Amino acid sequence: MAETSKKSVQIEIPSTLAERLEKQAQKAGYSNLSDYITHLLRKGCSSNNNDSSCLNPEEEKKIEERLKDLGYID
Amino acid sequence: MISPHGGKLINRVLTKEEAKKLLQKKEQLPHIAVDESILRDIFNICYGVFSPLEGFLGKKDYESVINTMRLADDTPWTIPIVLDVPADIASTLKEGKDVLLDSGEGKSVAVLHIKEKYTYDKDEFAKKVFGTVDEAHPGVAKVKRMNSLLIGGDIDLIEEPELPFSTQTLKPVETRFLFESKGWNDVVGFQTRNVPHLGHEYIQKTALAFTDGLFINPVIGKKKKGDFTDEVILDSYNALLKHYYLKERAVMSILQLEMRYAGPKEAILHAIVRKNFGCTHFIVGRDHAGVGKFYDPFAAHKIFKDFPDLEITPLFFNSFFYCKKCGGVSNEKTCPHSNEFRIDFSGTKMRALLEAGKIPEGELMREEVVREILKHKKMFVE
Repeated sequence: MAETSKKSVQIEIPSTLAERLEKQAQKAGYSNLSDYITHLLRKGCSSNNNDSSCLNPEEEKKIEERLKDLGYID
Repeated sequence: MISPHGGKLINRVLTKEEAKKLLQKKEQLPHIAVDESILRDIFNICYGVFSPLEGFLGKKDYESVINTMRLADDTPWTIPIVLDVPADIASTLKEGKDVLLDSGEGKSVAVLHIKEKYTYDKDEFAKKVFGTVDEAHPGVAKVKRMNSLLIGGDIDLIEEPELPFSTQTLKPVETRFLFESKGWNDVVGFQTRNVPHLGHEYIQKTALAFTDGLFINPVIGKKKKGDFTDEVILDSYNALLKHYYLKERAVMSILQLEMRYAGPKEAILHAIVRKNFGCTHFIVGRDHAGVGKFYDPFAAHKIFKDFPDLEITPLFFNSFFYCKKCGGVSNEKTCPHSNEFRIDFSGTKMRALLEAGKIPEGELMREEVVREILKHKKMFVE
């Protein structure tokens, strides 16, 4: 990730994906690809606030106990 | 730890309170009885094995998957995960409403929030996913047997389906915890639907040599006639792990999934699933997920070029053989000797020997593994 200015950074994505996103951006009425990707990432960030992969201590304990019971960890 | 496919590990399991509240309305809701294959899909969706899927595919995603090998939002996905229903039942279901999905015992295991009902072309499905419409292909034959209507929509798990081998089944949230607790950063996943011979062991140990841990993940579920039974596969692998692997470097858990035999496209699905379990690398062998002579033996290697954004790293392996002169497992790249010194790991030959109660040569299969296999009267799916 390279810093291009104080307010933005440059991120590399596969060109095949960029081509697909370019088409979607045009269809959705975005004037450029960066604005469209920013919109998608913001949307993604807000939904990831409920990320289920972040376990609370109680859930962690339950998993640890099951793995011990099944012999996966000592 | 590698991110789940699509960036988020899906968890669509209702809390006890939510499930109880929903079941109070059980009598007012329509029901669909689903078979064990669909129960496995439900398990895989709700526990994140199929992340980022949150339900059965709607029309837009279905069409995108069969035509572009990606979901409508561009996430790689190669096999449609769909729910087909008989027309008479479908006519009673309304879009925007809920339907309960029941196991064979009449237990409601999940609720489907119906987004849409749609028709599909079976030949198009078969041709685009399996590359053929020949019903001798088990995946095609299954599509031909499916109902003509599909229902798409998110699902929520009410109660974990009762599936065999539950004590050897780990969910992605558990394997990720397990890998972390073992201090594994690079984890290589190994897919199998066979008993292990020395060629498999060689591939696994080669990959393990430059990673931190090995995750053996046999596919358990409906298979085709002549495949080894699930019990035989598990027992033989348990024997191999016990006698030939370090406990701190290799674990096994099963994948509850019906084989589709979609060759290269299924190889991508298999890689995605292992990424969700927390694997950073995935072994792709010769004729991965293939059947008969339907696919080029290396099609499953080539297809990965179309997915530079898959994030999990495929490790491609060719065929191996035992070379008497080298004194070990070798392949065309590493062995300079002629055929007279080579013993092939021929599945057909080994099956024939095992079926006759004979022990394959020690260069082909570990004795401890053979002993476990021979304990079973029924070795193959009938």
